[in-house]
Amino acid sequence: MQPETAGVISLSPLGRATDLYHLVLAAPQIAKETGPGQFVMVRCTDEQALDPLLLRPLNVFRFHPAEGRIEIIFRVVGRGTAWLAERRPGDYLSLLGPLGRGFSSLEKYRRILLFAGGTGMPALFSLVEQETKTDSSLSSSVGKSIMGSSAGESTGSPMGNTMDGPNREFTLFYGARTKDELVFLDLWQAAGVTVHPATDDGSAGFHGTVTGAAARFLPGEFDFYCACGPRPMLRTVQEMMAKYGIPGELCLEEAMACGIGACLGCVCETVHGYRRVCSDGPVFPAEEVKFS
Amino acid sequence: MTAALSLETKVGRVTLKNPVLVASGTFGFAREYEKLFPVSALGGVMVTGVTLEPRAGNPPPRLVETPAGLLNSIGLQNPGVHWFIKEELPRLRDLGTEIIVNISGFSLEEYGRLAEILDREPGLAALEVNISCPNVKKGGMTFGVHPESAAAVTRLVRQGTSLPVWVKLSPNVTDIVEIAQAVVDAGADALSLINTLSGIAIDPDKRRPVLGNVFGGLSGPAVKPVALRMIWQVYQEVPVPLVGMGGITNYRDALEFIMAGATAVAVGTGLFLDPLSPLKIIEGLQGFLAKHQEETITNLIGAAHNREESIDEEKRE
Repeated sequence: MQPETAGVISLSPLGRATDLYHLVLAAPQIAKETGPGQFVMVRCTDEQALDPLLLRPLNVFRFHPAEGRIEIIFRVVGRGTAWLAERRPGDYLSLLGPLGRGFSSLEKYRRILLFAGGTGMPALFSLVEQETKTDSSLSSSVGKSIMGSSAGESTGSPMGNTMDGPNREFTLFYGARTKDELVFLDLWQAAGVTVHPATDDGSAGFHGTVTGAAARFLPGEFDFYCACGPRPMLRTVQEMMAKYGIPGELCLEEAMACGIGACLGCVCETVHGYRRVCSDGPVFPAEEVKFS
Repeated sequence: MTAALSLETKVGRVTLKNPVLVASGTFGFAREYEKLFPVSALGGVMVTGVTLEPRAGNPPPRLVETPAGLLNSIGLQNPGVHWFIKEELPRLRDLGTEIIVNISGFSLEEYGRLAEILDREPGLAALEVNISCPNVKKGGMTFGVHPESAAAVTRLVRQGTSLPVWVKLSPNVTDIVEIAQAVVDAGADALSLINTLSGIAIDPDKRRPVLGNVFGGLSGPAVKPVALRMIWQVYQEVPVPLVGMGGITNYRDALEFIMAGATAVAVGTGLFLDPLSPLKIIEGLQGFLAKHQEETITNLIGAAHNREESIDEEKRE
C-alpha cells in the first residue's frame, strides 16, 4: 500500500444508457501488489481543490502486474465519480492502494457460486481471473477443463488464461438493473464461467434478483460462494446460502474516509462487533456479517 | 538559505521538533499511517481518544461527506486505557516523536482516574483532555460547554498527573474565551482547538438522518475560518500556548493558524485527502522560513495580531 500517481490510459462509458465507466490506469506499483477483492482510494478532485473532499474507494476489476496496469469499473453516483468520468487519457490521478483484505484462496473448493450485483461485479472478476490464471507452480499436464461454455477453452481466451486444475467450476449469477448494465459478459465466458444474468426489468436473463435466478439451481453441489453487491442483495444471498449450509465470503461496500483503518468511519456490524470495512474487510466470512 | 532555520516550537514544557502534529481520532494509534510515511518526521502524534473502559462506538453509518467537509460520528470507539497501555503504548514510545494521549471520560471521576493511570506511564509528552466530543450522549461535549464543568474536569486531571495537561475545547459554545480562561485557571498548560462542530445530515429519500447517531461532528476545510477565529480570540485573552486545528490541508493553512496565535498545529481530516500532507506542510513551512528569512517559526506565532509590522506587497508570496 502506498500513494501512487496513476496515468489514465483509457476511460470509456460502458454501453448505451448506462452510467458505468471502464477506467484503465498505469499504476505499476499498485498493479504489482493487488490481490482479488482489494480496492484503491482515488482522489476525485482537481489539484488544490478541496471539494469533494474524500477519496473514493473503488474495487479493482483487473490487475496486470507485468504491464503495470489496473482496470476499474465505476458507476457515476455523485460529484466525485462524475468528476472521474470526465478524465481523459494522459490525465493523472492520485491513488492510494492496494487496500483491504481481499478474497481468500479458493484452492480447496471445487464448485463455486458467485453472486454479483451491479458494481459488485469487478471484485468478483478479479477473483476469478486470479484463480483461473496459469500458475507455474501448480500447472502440470492436467487437462484443461471447459467450464460451461466453449469460450472457456484456454487457447481461445482473449486473456490467454488457462484453468489451473481440472475440477474448478464457477457459476455466476449476475444482477443488474437492465440489460445494458450487464457488462463484460464476454470476459466472464472466456474465463470459463457459467453466467446466469438477472435484470430488474427483465430485459435479459432472469426477471428479478440474483437470488431468484439462483433458486432453481440450489442446493446443487456447490461448496463455496462469493458475493459482492448492494447490501440488500448481500443480505438475501447470505440468508439463502445459510439455509443450504454453503459457506462463503461477502465483499462489502461502504463510504470511507481514510481507507486504511485509522479513522474507524466505515465499520460494519459483525458477530465480533464492529469491524472496519476498509482494513478488516472489505471481504468478510459470510457468516460473520450482521445485516441489521 | 541558512542552516539555522528552525521549526522547533515549545508547547509549554513540551518541545516539538516541528509544529506539525496529527489530530486525535484521525491517526488511530499510528499503526496504519506508519506504513505510509516515517512518523518520526512529525512534531507529535495525538492518539485516538482513550476511555477507561473499551467502547464499541456508534452504530453506522458514521460518515457523511459535506461541501469541503466531513461529518463523523465515530463515538470514541477504542479498546480502553488498559489495552492501550499494554498493546499500543510500547510501540508508540519507539516512534521517535512526541506522544500526546487524548482522554475522554463519562464522569468527572473517570477523567481523574485516566490521568492517574497514564501518569505512571513513561514516554508520554502530554495528556490532551477531550471535553468536546460531540458524538457521545453522556460526558464528552457536555463538560466542555460550561466553564464550571470544563474547569472541574481540568482540575481533576491536573491533580491526577504531573504530565502537561492540554485541554481540547469545543467550538459549540457561545464564548470560547470564557471556557478557555476557566480551564487555564483550573491548571491547563495548553489548549487544543477546535474539536468538531456539531451537525446533522438528512437523507431526503429516506426522510431520516443519515448518521446512525443522528448527530455528528463537522471537520475539514469547511470549518477552518471558525477555528481560526477562535484561535485568534483565545490568543488575545488567554496566555497559554495553543495547538490549532480545523481544516488544515497545506502549509499556508498552517501558517494562518500560527499567525493567528497557534504555537503548533494539527492535521486531521487533511490526512484523508492526502496521507502525506503533514510531511508536505513541514516542508512548506521550512520553505516559507527560508524565503522570508525568518530564523525560527516561533517568530511567526501570533504575527497577524501585530498591526505595526505589516508586510508590504512584494514580500508576500
